[in-house]
Amino acid sequence: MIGGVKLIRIDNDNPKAIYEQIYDEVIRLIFTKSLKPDEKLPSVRELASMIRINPNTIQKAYKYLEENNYIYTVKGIGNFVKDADELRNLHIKNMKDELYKVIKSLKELGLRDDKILEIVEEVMNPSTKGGRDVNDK
Amino acid sequence: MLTINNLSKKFGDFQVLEDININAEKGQIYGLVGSNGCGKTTTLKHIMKVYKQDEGYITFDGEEVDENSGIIKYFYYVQDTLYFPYQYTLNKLFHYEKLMYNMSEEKFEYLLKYFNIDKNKVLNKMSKGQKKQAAFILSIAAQPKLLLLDEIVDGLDAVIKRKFWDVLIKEVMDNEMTVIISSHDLKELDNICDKVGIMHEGKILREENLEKMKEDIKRVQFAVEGEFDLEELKEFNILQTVKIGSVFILTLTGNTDELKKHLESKYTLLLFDKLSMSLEEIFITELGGVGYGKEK
Repeated sequence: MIGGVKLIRIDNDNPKAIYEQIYDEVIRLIFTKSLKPDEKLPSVRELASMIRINPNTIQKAYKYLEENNYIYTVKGIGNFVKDADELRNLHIKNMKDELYKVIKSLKELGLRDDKILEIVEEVMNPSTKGGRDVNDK
Repeated sequence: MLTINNLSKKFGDFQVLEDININAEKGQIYGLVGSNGCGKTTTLKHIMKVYKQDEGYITFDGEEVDENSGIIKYFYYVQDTLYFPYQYTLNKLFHYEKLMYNMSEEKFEYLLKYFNIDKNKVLNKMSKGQKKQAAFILSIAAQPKLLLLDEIVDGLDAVIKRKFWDVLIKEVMDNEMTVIISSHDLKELDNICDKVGIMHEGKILREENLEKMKEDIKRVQFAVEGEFDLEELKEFNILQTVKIGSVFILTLTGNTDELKKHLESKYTLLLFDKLSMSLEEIFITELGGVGYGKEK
């Protein structure tokens, strides 16, 4: 047991399901390179004890990570982080899908293309557009 | 798998249990939670056949549990209030329990070290927390298929609690032990139980997978421009409403996105946040639904 060390942070005030929070946290650890390609993730049991979460919840998070190609499983050995470049491309694709959804809903709200481009411009260069506070931290 | 089917019990005229149904799968951690005096301990004592029910039956892996069935030797019950025989040490109790259980010397020695408990100390001279640990060590060393833990975390410090869960998770995962754990400390059970049974006045109000429960019961806070009439939301299944200033906090079942859409179609939304729902809040909502805690 690793007393008090929190590799994965669970926020009890976050309305997201616990398995989704674990999913997000592992991805965060991968992209900050806290978890390196081909590095072994904590076992389900280790992580369950570490963060005091039901093992089936951890299993579920790992399953989603595997389904979405962030990690791979070696039977009987454990779960490992996938190759970084591959992951980067995958993540860009996933973010692109998100962006597609956002733009689609902006269109649904009746915004014209030039107005949407204006917003994109504003996000890309927050200083150019009258100092509108875009949270880019 | 443990099933309790339509269990009822009266003590004299007092209906202590009424139509209790519990289903705990193999390898599950089942949280039995409830108001004070709701019958949690009485339910556990029926599983152990300390009490005999008036109606209903209990099965384990398909076999009916009664006082003559051999299956009880695979059940272990750690009581809330611990009484140990006079002048007994943990070591002496361990050897005594060999008469009834398949005690593992290896697990016993490992756990003594892990919890730093002296097996030669007289049990009744131990602190409350140490007694709990001693009883827990014995229960794991007995290698039960079904472990009943009544208020075990009560009186344990944070470090020992972590060790406790660590051991319990290992046993559940490696040996598919089924655990029924009762506690008043719902924060302690939150996110660790597979399934939860909420008891009140001798009945099970709700029994469900904890994750599923949290998917079902949602809480949102919102504010709109102008006056808002709750009548607007009568098609939604709202369990509880709290109004603070012009902010409404609703606890409801069903889809919160639909609620948001509905509000947006009629009002200008100034605020709409989904809030998290802990086991403790689900518990309070469920019990509030039957009027508990609302006495004047």
